[in-house]
Amino acid sequence: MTKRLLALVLALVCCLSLFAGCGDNSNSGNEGNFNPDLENYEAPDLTGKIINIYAWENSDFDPVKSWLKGAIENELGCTINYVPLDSFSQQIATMMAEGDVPDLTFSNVYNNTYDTYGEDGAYINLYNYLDLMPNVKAFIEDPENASDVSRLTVSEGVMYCLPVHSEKQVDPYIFLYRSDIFEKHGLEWPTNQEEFTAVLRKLKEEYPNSYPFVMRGINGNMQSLMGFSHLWGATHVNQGAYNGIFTLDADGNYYMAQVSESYKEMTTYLKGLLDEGLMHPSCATMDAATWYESFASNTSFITFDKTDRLPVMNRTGQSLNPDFQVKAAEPFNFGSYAKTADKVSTSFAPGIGSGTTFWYAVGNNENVEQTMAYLDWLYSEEGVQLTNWGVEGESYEVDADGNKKFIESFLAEQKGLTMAGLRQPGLCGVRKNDSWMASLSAEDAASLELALQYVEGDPAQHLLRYNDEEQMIYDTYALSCFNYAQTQLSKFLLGQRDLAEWDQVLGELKAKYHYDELLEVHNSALARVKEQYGI
Amino acid sequence: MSATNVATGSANRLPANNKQNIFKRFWKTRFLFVLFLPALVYYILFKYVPMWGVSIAVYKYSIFKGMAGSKFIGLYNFKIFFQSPEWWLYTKNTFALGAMGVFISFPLTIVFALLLNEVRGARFKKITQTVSYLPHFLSVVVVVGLMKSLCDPTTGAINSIIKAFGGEPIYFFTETKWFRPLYEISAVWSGLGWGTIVYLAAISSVDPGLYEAARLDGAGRFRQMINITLPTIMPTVSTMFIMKIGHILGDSMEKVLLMQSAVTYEVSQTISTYTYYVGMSKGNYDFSTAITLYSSVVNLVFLFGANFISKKLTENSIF
Repeated sequence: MTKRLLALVLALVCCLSLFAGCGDNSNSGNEGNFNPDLENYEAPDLTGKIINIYAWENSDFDPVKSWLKGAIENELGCTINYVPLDSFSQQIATMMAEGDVPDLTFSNVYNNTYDTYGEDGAYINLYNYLDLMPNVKAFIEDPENASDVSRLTVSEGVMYCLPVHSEKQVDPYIFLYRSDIFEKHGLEWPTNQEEFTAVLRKLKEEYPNSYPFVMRGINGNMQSLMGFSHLWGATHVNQGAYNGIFTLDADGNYYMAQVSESYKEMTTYLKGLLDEGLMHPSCATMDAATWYESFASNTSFITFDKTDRLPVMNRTGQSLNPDFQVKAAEPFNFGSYAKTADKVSTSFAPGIGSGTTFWYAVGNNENVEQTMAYLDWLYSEEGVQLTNWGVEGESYEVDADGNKKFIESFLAEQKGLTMAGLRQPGLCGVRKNDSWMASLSAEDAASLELALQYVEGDPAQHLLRYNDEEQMIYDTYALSCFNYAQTQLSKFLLGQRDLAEWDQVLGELKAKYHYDELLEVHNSALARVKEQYGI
Repeated sequence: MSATNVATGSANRLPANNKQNIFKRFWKTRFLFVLFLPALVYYILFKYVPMWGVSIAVYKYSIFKGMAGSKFIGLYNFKIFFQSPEWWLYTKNTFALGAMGVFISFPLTIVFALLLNEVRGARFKKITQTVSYLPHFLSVVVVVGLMKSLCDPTTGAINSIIKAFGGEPIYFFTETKWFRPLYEISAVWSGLGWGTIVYLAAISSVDPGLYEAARLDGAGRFRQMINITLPTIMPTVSTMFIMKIGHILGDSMEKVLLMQSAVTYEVSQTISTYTYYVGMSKGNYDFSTAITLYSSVVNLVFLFGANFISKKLTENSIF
């Protein structure tokens, strides 16, 4: 009888557990109940509170173990539960599906999915609560931030994602090269395409097992190739087409750069370098770690990439070889563009704000007040100071002239500003330029100054928003169309398709992948944006 | 009237007795039913109730407004998918990966289980089993990372050997023809040992008397394996085959995503990766559901087909 009773009890416990596991998650959607008295409102004290941040995973540093996270917690008395998501979009989508809205969402990828979450009630409309967040309000109303703010504004008085502002772009693309190797062999930095090829051949002679020129992630996000394509006359001003399929040409018309004449010239040249062993053959699948390694191991000596990689690259290289030095070098135009262009531009995408695509969104859950208080602090004077410079006496000191300077031992211990988390998106709202410049070695600072000379202007950006019919066309064809173009580009580059067939690709895109319809969708949406903003 | 007739007899003839019997039997075995209850609740909650969620495929589903607040869009999502220029390519690619699993991994696992059973040295057998099980516990990220290191055209071990023999390095991850072999070879490597467990369990239940009788008849070890072990585990093989066929459109999305690059899209873009890019990563749950429903229906057709054929050929089936 006892056994039977035990079996009965255990069975019932199992059943109850199953029901309990299916319990409703109450962590969402209570904005409707949040009706603060605006006149007498006081932001909650964050002491003892937990702020849950679900964030895009930053491969450059670990926010969870960063020095800055601890410093913010000490300053505010709160605990930051920072959760990096390795596949951000999918995991956020899953969390939303489960009704588990994070207190604060942080990402570098912005598209209308996140506005949809806002419209569905997962995120608060920041404009509705600006009076409760005076620092955020000041940030939004500051003309300096107008470009970033307008880009993330859904419609008048509606914005779910608050941009992180970079005071000045610190990561422009430019040629980076091993200056110590050039000096060792008495090589001069080239000034045109012919000299560039010649210097690669000379390096190959000196280091037969090397691949002097390297670019990373060509097939992944194409970023290196897109940056390099500027020197061939391709443009990547996307004017809000966040999907990256089409970009605007010099006349303001949408086109697909990957099938253009500029890309054809560039691909032909790069294929020649690959065939000759002058370019690293793993470029198609190379990740950042292998790319760093190719420089540190004397496998490659020249690349075209972001200047903000220099501190890590030089610090790593110099720990193995004290003479190791990578510097930025003067860019020049290539191909037929070199004969017609009157300027040199290396901007990856002029118009992506000041290099920022990062944003925060406040979850519409029971912690909404404390999350707003935390976000407001990030954009306050104290918050900007702490998140960019750290703590006086600990991370930086002020000299007799009142100039701030980072403490060398702090930078050495933290392995640089980035690793410490200072001015890193996800832990700050405004990225100041002075702290970044103060952390650089004289050589890296000179490289950045050089690269900044070739950055173009910063036109305002507005996201394209499609109507229902356009959305259907976009949803149906865009991914296949762009993937096909990317695949063919890679095949031409790797010699898997004859370059003589280049001109056929556009025809194939039009015949099978609805290229013209997609172009029309973009142009119609752009026309509305122009009309709305009077561009 | 026999017991069978009572159980299947007409309700008109013995209604009272029949009901009484059912209640009597239920009461007599009531504790067994109580023990069954958690499993029943589990299946209702986690397998049957979610089926209702399939209906979001015909709504422009908003998570916070729920089904009632979402706009009905009919077959819009299916239309988008089937109008996509490459829906057939995605299906074909998914099917190719699934078919390789059925026709390569599946028989290899059985062969490996049979071979393991024939190993005489207990110590060697245990070591072999442990070594073959271990890759199963490596995450797919590690497995793909290992493959990329081994296959690297400049520093990878495989290409170093090829170059040492005077050959040209092979760009395994940027040549379409290598994508499927690499996918399947790594699947075999990581799943072969683990997959043998169920067959070894089945083999262990074979009556030793059968082997003894075969030996008396002069059968060698190979003959015993073919004529006794294999036929005895055939019901298990049939069941596993049917279940495997039922997942023929179920590739390992994470692995495909990690292995693919732009140059291999034409063989590596599958239904699941397409669902990931267009559906899940953009919060289009309704679209994801529609595509998943499509692959489930195809899987179901294959499942019924395999079950039917198995029933006809081997008299073994799962329903």
